[in-house]
Amino acid sequence: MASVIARSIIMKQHSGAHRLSFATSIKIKSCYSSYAASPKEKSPENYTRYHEVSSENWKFVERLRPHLLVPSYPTDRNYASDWIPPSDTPPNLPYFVKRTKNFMVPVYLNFEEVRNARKITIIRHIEGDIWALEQAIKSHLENVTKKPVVSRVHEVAMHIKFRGDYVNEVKKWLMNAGF
Amino acid sequence: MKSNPKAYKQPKRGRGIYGGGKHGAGNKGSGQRQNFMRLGYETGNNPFYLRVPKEPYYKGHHLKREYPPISLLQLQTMIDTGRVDPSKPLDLVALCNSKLFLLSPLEKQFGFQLTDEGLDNFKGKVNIEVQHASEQVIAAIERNGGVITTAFYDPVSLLAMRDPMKFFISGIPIPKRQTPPEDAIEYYTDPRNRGYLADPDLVALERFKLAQKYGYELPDLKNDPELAMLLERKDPRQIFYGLNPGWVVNLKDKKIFEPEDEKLLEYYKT
Repeated sequence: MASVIARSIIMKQHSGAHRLSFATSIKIKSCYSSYAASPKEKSPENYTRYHEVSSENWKFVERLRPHLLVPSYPTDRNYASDWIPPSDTPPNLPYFVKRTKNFMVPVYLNFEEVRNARKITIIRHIEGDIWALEQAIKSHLENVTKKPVVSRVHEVAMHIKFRGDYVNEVKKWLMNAGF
Repeated sequence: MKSNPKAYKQPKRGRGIYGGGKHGAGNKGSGQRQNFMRLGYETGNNPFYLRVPKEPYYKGHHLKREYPPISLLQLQTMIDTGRVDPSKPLDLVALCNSKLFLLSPLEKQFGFQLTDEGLDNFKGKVNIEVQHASEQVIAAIERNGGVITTAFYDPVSLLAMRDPMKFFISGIPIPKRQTPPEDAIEYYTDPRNRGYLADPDLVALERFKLAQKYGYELPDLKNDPELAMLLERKDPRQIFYGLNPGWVVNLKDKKIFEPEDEKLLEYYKT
């Protein structure tokens, strides 16, 4: 039915005979995987009668509705996971690390492209004095691990990379600092 | 640089050159006659490719069900950050609606499994329904006064549950949940796994036994203020809480419709 209508519309648009032959060969794609779009569908009178269910059940539909935006975190509880919310006032430090849209600290584990075995800890969204933050975290990690830690600062992209997997340690340090 | 095509002519192998000898093909046998043996043939030895036994690690991988993991640490973080509401029963719909996990039933993913990472620090009191859970995870949930159920969903139901709003807009009736396949029935009827097809009395007994085994005191559910939420369960044929199979949801007019045909009612009967 749909393809017939489309054909007549196209025939009205183009009056030339050479275009008619082209237009009649066009078919609109039908989606047969859906029963509603299949040629077996009949008119609504042939289907079952139905009645409305009590509106008390609508609350169960509302329960299935997802948040349109990322919901704000609750402030009235003790946080049992290792996640803590950022402090209300930013810490008095020359640098600042912004949280992600999901309220997470932007510290990730990357794998070097050349050698997959090389683990790189990356801190993103750094504002202010990036070199001061690098020195602070580097000295903390060297104190904890008792090993020299290799780092690379990228001022333009506002990130720092550390060679090795220090994700949990860096996350904990940043959250305790109030970021 | 390369010489022009046909500029160099390969010298012909004359019968008389190199003293009319064998031309590198040797004397007699398969070398001279150029009839080489088939690949892997070792002239009567047990060949190498048959000497080593076969180890089919990935045999039947296209038939196996996959359950992507969610750890208890991730669940606790979702509760702390408000991505799931523990005051309501948590099922696959709630986990998918957090938009932090993506389930693809068309890639043989049949739901989520709850893993034991962050088990010691888990403090949430939840009524959760997952597709697979280990004994330790069940103990960690029940120690806090929570309830856990393992339930099976067929791919058609999972496609509806993954994004319910998109499914309702399509105007298709809510599907009837199918029974688990033959190899999964044992798991989902076992009260030790808190299967949704297990006898509730046996599940209560197993809850007590597990508390004895792991040495924690089982919180009394009868005096719990959230008892109604903790006891909320789905029918084995139901995929959404409170909504029966066969119903059609109209999001625009905020109405739910039920069919009246007897054959349909018989089919959707739970």
